[in-house]
Amino acid sequence: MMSRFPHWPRLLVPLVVLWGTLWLLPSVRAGDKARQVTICAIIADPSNQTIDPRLAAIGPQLRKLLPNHGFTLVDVKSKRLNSGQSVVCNLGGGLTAEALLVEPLDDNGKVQIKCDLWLNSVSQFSTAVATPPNQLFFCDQKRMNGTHLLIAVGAR
Amino acid sequence: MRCVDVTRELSAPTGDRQSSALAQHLAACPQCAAWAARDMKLNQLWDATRPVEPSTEVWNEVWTEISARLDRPDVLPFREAPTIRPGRRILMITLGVAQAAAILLAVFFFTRAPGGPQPDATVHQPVRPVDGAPPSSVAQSDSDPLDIDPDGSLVVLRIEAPGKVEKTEVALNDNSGRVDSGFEMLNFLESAAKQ
Amino acid sequence: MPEAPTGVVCDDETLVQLARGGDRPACEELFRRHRDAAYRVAFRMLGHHDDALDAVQEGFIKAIGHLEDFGGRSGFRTWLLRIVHNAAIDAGRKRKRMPSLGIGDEEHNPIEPACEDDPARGLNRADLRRILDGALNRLSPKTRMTFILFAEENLSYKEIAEIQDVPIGTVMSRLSYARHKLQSYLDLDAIDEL
Repeated sequence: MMSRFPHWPRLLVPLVVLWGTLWLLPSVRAGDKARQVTICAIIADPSNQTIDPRLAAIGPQLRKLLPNHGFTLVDVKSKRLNSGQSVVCNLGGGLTAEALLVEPLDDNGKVQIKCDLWLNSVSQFSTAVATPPNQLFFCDQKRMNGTHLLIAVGAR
Repeated sequence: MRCVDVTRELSAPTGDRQSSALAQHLAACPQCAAWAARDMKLNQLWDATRPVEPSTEVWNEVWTEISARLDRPDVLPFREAPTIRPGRRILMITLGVAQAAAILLAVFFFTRAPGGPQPDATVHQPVRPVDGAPPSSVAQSDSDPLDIDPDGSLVVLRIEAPGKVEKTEVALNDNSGRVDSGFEMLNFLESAAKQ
Repeated sequence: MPEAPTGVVCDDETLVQLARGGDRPACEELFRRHRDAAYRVAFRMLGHHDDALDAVQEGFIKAIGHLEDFGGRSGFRTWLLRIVHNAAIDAGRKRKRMPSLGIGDEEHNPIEPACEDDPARGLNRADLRRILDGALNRLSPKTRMTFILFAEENLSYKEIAEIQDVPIGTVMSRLSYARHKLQSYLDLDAIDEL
């Protein structure tokens, strides 16, 4: 005969043990220090000075970065990340840009981010940066055809 | 200048708009002029109702209370002690025991892991490339991040060659004094990503 | 008072360092410097003197208890106002007190301004505040706080964005929305004497 009382209290214990174990994982503990990380890829072209309408609002600032260039937005992604997680922009042709949140808040009050460019899984460049929150920085790589690949990264 | 730009500029000034253009529009558009007049009235109403700050005596009482709370060793100063209903006490004890067991188990497995404790293992895991293969080269060490402190400028890291980065700062003039252009750009891009 | 050990007046950063080490006079000086700003924001938010004092008190206790979390990137005042902002929003949510019902000694007065029907009679400060609080209270707590931080404390968009953890564009949109709404809620043309 089945008991009238549910078994859930006994089932609860292993669940709680599992939760407690998970809680100990650094990535889970870091949940309260997550950051909204944004990565954006822009092509700057000296031969075509048009500004992509999607970038019109920040056109003047981009022009200060690279005068006499046109700017085209390739991709932009933003994601709430914990330590060790990353957000990836797909640039096409096997190229991807990735921002990895290394440290949401280091001892100097900065966010540590690693920015990578991959071509079919082969690193094209990689740079780790300690930046204040709410600030954007750009990685600028000049391409063979004279255009620049700008990768903007920032964390809030 | 459109009416919507005028009211937006009056509501949340950016300093981007020429004040002459704004004045010109207000002079020619009765609707916007009326809006601006009401907005000024709102500011006056706000000023006329500014709260009277408490007296020193009141503040002394508040500080005495804060100080007393900070001195209490038995209670966390920043968290009210919850009232525990009798029925929940057993559950909480069970949870506590289970959590202690979980901690012991986790510590056990953690210390038995190959290579011993690795406090920042998650943080410094290699970046996972798109197809899951390991990166063929890493140009800069994670442990030595490039420190940037733009202070109102935009930082550009010009990649000369793998491992060779030239840092430059580009000053962005901010006419309003209220808007940090770098911050504004970040927010714009974040918003664009969410659309 | 906290001038600090050397007798020289300290900046907030130094006081925070001292306070982290348990220096009570440094805590008190931080309180003395920022209590009025915290009160103004909490009062505008809650519309009630005692509630505002409670929010300030809770805010300072939390702030001093969590000084190790203060990164130092933004100023102490911005960080404190973020805590007071949360305390005020929590207090408003818990008590569900209508600000316009809780001003000074006129706690039991009806929401409608006493003199609204007779503008010529003139409105005293309490009447004006009741009118404004009634309109403010119709805004959502987050929008209300954005407007309060801007209008009362003259904080920059960036500071407000940091306090409220929203993009700067959201701050500007909320300000614009708040002004339009307040204009529509208030019969500003009828208020002659300010």
